Amino acid sequence: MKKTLLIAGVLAMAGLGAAPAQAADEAAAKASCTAAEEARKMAAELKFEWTTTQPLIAKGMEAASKGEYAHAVKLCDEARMQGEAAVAQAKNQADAWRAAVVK
Amino acid sequence: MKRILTFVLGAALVAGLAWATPEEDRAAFTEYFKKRFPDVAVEDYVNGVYSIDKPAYEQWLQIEEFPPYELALEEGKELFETPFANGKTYADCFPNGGMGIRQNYPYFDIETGQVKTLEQEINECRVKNGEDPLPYKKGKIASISAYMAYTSRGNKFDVQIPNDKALAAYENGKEFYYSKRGQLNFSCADCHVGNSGMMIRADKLSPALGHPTHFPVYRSKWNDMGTLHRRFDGCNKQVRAAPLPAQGEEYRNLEYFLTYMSNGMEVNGPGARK
Repeated sequence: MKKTLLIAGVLAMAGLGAAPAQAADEAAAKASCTAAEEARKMAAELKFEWTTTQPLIAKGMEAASKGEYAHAVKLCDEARMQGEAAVAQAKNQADAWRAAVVK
Repeated sequence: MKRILTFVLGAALVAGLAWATPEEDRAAFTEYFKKRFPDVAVEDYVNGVYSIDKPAYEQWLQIEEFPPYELALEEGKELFETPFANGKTYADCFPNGGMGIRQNYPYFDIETGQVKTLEQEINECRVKNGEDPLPYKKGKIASISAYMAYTSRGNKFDVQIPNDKALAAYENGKEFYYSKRGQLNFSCADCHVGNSGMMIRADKLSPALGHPTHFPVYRSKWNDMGTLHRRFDGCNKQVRAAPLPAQGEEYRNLEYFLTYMSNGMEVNGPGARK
């Protein structure tokens, strides 16, 4: 009886903890995908967006919708890094292209 | 004093490098390809990659006996001559009735302050006469453009840069051409200048000189005709850069720069390519 009560208690506590943990994971995935979308938009405004970024964000959002939050964060973080790299590429090329001109 | 002198000399050097005139650019561009492929005559670059690939050139000559763009030429001629609903035709919109004028495109329109392309004016003609514009990358517009290019074969490209705004558009196109973009970090020039003649998988990279002279083209890969902006779109995608809109300002300026580099070369469109 004591053992049953103990198990029930542990399960109840785990259940209570699971809901906030899930909410935190969901929020992290959402934040990651929002940041990725912002980086992608910035690259697009500079006309330097990569074709690989949007599909990663779409996959990340899909993973989040299925509750696969860790996978969503991984995908969207990769997308954000791509967006940031594209922005850095645009800024770098704003001057660097001149060195490549045939002279 | 020494520091000021160094700064002034440095600034002059940078300015000199940055602001070569279009004619200096074109001369350097031509000279580059003369040195890179010493056995190829400049006028042969209108044949694209076939100018630097002898075995492929022989095959291409065979293909040209029954060119795959022939159907597009027939369609283009028919479309060109068929009156719009209001009774007017494309001939009413262009100088010389639209015949033999390909070599003058793209040009800088002083009134709008924009580069104008042939495909753009084909659509403007349609809209002016109450018709819907055509999609820019393939289909009927490529056929009409192909027919107009065909009537201009042998005429020499003569792209002009009439004022400072035009020069800015040219410089903008030049910047696009030499800027690395996409996940693969390649510029147009990386493939078609610095690595022209090299193999990329099973294909030889074509030289940039003469590139726009043979468009629109029938590409075996597409199994279809396509405009120059369709090719820009494809090139951008190949380096994993999101393509920009066909006939948008960036691609029109790019066409302006690239065609200027081929000034003096003959119109050879439409072409047949792999």
